[in-house]
Amino acid sequence: MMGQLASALAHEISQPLGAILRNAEAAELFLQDASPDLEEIRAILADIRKDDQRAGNAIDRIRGLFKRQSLDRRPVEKGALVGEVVALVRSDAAARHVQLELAVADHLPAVFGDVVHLQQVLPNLIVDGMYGIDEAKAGDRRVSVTASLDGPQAVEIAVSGFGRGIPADTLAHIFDPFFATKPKGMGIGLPISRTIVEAHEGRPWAENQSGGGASFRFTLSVAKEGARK
Amino acid sequence: MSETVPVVHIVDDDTSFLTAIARLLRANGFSVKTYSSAHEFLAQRDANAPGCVLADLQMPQMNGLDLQSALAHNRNPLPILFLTGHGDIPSTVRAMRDGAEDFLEKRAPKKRLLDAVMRALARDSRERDARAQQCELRARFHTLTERELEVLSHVVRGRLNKQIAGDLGIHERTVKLHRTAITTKLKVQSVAELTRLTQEAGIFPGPGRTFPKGQ
Repeated sequence: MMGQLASALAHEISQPLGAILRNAEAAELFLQDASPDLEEIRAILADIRKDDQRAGNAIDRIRGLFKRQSLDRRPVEKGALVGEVVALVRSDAAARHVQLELAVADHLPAVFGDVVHLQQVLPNLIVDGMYGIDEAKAGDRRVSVTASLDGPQAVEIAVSGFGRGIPADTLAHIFDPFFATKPKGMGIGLPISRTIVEAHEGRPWAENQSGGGASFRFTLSVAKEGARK
Repeated sequence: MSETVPVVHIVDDDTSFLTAIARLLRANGFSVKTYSSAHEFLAQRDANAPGCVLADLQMPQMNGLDLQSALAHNRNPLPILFLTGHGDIPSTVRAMRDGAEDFLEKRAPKKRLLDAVMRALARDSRERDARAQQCELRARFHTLTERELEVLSHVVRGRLNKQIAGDLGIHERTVKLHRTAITTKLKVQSVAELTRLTQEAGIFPGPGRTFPKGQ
């Protein structure tokens, strides 16, 4: 858990830190001029401050993910769990020319979980699924999201891509940190998703589909009747 | 040598880092252009200008490796240096195998960054000269007539005048005349030099070369 946190943090802040370093080096050089361009140096300092803020925000965001010891669990309806989240990544999908399909079973019961945390799981899986099919041909550029009952007590959510699938030796480790399946994010999305799902006593896993491509799946328990807070 | 100033093209979707590294390189006297995506760079680049590319490895849509292969298909394949947040071994291996000039972490020491840019520009200049030479060489070969090329193809395979005359059904004297024309047009003194130039210009791909093309 600490390892995941550390690697996520390292990645998120290396960009702003890099910018800060290069800006500081540039400013040092400008200051060696006989008549330094103070406007430029002021702009540099403002940018350094901005990047410091960016790095700070990254730290806060990641810390926020792990801060709450106890999850604030309530019934979470399928709309909040799946619909809203899929809507958020639609434009990203369109930009990648990926067709995003959504199939939610009728009368799917609410699950019992912390909506703030749960809403981070699906986007990670979808974005990973989309990267997986970046090399796929036009007709195969689809990611489907399904939500259905898995027995009476659990809801299973699956994100399936129709790309190349996942090599067998990678399948078991795909939710581990540093098992990058996409160039950006460096294997952080899936480990964070796993942490969240497991904190909800759910199970995340990946499997290849017989018809090609791979699925990321996870289960969550159904909220009991009258369950509140 | 080209007379235009070489340009360091920086491609990174992180605009903040893009601005910062551009400032640093400008402050060090480099001529710099910035682009926030690989597509933007490919659309704007001057197809013949000298320079090098400094590209973020991890960009959405078209990443650094895609950019590298797009550049490789170009007549002016500028050397490419990759920048990365932190090391990614498979990508590094692939990039280096495909001829990347270097691989730098975004927070690499300044000296290492500047040295790498200098090396990339030097390599571009070297490769540019070699391409110009090759071009000039091919132009010389283009002055040969069909018949002269035919004779040349026999000469570089080590055939004697008499054999060539027999093969082509012409007089040995005519072969000699063609050979004189060839050596004059190509400005060479010996058969050895002729063979070397022919190989360098890649005039007769096919049998006789280690990797026959189009066979």
